[in-house]
Amino acid sequence: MNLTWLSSNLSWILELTLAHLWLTLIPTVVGLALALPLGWWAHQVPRLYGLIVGTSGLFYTIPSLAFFVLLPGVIGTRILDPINVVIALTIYTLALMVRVVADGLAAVPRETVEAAEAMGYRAFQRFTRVQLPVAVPVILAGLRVAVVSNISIVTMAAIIGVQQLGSLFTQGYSLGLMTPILTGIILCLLIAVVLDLLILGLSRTLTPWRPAAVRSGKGVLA
Amino acid sequence: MIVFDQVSKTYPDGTVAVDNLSLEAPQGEITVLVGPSGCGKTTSMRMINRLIDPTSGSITMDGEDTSGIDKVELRRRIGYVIQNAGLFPHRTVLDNVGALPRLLGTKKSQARERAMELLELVGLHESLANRYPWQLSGGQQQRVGVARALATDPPFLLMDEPFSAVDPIVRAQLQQEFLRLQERIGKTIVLVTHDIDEALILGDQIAVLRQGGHLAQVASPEVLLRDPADAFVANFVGRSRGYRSLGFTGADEHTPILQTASAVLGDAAQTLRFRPDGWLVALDAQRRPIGWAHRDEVGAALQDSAINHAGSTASLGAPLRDFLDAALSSPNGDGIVTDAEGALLGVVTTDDVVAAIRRAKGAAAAARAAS
Repeated sequence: MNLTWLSSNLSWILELTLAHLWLTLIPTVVGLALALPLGWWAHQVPRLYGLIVGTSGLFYTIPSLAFFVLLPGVIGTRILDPINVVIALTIYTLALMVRVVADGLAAVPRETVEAAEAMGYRAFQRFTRVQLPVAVPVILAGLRVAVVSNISIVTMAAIIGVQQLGSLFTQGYSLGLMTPILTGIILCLLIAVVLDLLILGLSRTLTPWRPAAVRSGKGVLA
Repeated sequence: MIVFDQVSKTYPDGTVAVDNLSLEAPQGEITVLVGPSGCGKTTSMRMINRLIDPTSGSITMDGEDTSGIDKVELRRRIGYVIQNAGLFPHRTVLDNVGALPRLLGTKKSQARERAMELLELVGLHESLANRYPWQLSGGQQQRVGVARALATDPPFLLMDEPFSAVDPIVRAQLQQEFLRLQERIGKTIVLVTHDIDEALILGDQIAVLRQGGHLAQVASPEVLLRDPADAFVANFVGRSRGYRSLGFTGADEHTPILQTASAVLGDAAQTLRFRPDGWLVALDAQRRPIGWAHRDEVGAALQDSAINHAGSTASLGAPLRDFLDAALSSPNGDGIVTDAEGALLGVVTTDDVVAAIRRAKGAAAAARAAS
């Protein structure tokens, strides 16, 4: 480790870490918010399930670099604008989470949803008060995958000049230094572990009703 | 009262689920829809709260056409109990019961208070209130389901195979509890089951449906057993319908209850007086019959090991079925009869029970001829 480089670049590294966090979190949250109604729709109308889940899944196959480069042309943003990265990652999150949400809703016991309908819950009330809370473990398990994958995809944005931890890789490469690269890897890992644990904790908090063995063991969450 | 008036349900592919059904579910009574699978019983019930809309005909509730009521508003007036209970897995027992009142704006504390009362009503201990559904047995879940359906005190109750998912012993217990509950709450109930035994136990009125959604017969359990409308109903009601129909007629005053030899458990052998055929009725300390004991089996004193437990007992005023069963199950052909407290009254012979059955048939035939 080159400690001189490290100590003289500390504030920049902190800046990059914060940028990386935002570039990961905003698309994750927005992507999930968009995936909820789409996933609900796919679950509600079985005829459309294949179309909605298939089409959204297709976006995941577009290489991230191509996305970053093509988006400005499609939506008219500047090429160096971080918004391109946010939008691309939002679409990736959406692509992953639509299927997760639809499948999570499908895993809610049929009798439970039917009982709610027969009791006089309106469709939206059924969704917010019964289906969504019961689907939380499945949805958040999917979100853990999405957030970790976003953390790593964000680094690609260094190539188009959007500053975040990925910039440490390009920096290290151009200076011929290992330290920035290692620092970037370690910080990415750290963010991934912390966010993963946070979502796991959130899932536990939201589901006090699950059997303890399932919650702590290698059940749905693992 | 719920009235079906020429209600039909045809699906777009041409399948007729319910065909021209006209039926009344009287106020405060249990109407059971029963039939084989594919007979449209569940479809019929679901048309009441418009989970399914009829293709033609009308359903009225207390005179009001349900097609004119907002579906959600309609459903909130009707309690609904479903097979496997369909409880909300993420809510405690208490909050499951209070879910609908909470949805309709009742304060949490108030909803919970009411829920506690309902738990007591359905026979659930308050220690279960804060459990989650997965921590309950099937029977307990079903009770929570009934309590939840009663949360807003709706005048109507729909029950879809409510006791089918529990084992036979728990089912029998739930059925009896449910009948006692209905005596207190007097709801207008429509219950769907595929089990004719359940229908005969629970129904004030039974509607038998056949494949294709045709109503085969609607009648009281007694009439259904005694006078099935056609071969389909007779078959569906089953083989032992003659025996079951005795469950609705009592023994008349001409049925002799005879004195019999008896002894209390523990009595010394030399004090025992046996009947000429060698039997006596063994009693517990409260003079309740335990079974029959034969002279050849009794040692120094009347012990439990000497007792034949095969015989059932009939209490005075019980239906003829109980008398016949007591006589048929007895090792000597005489049925043990008890008073209302269960203490020994005497015995009734098989011949006298059969004679009573003959008299009851004659009386029923005379009544039919007169009407």
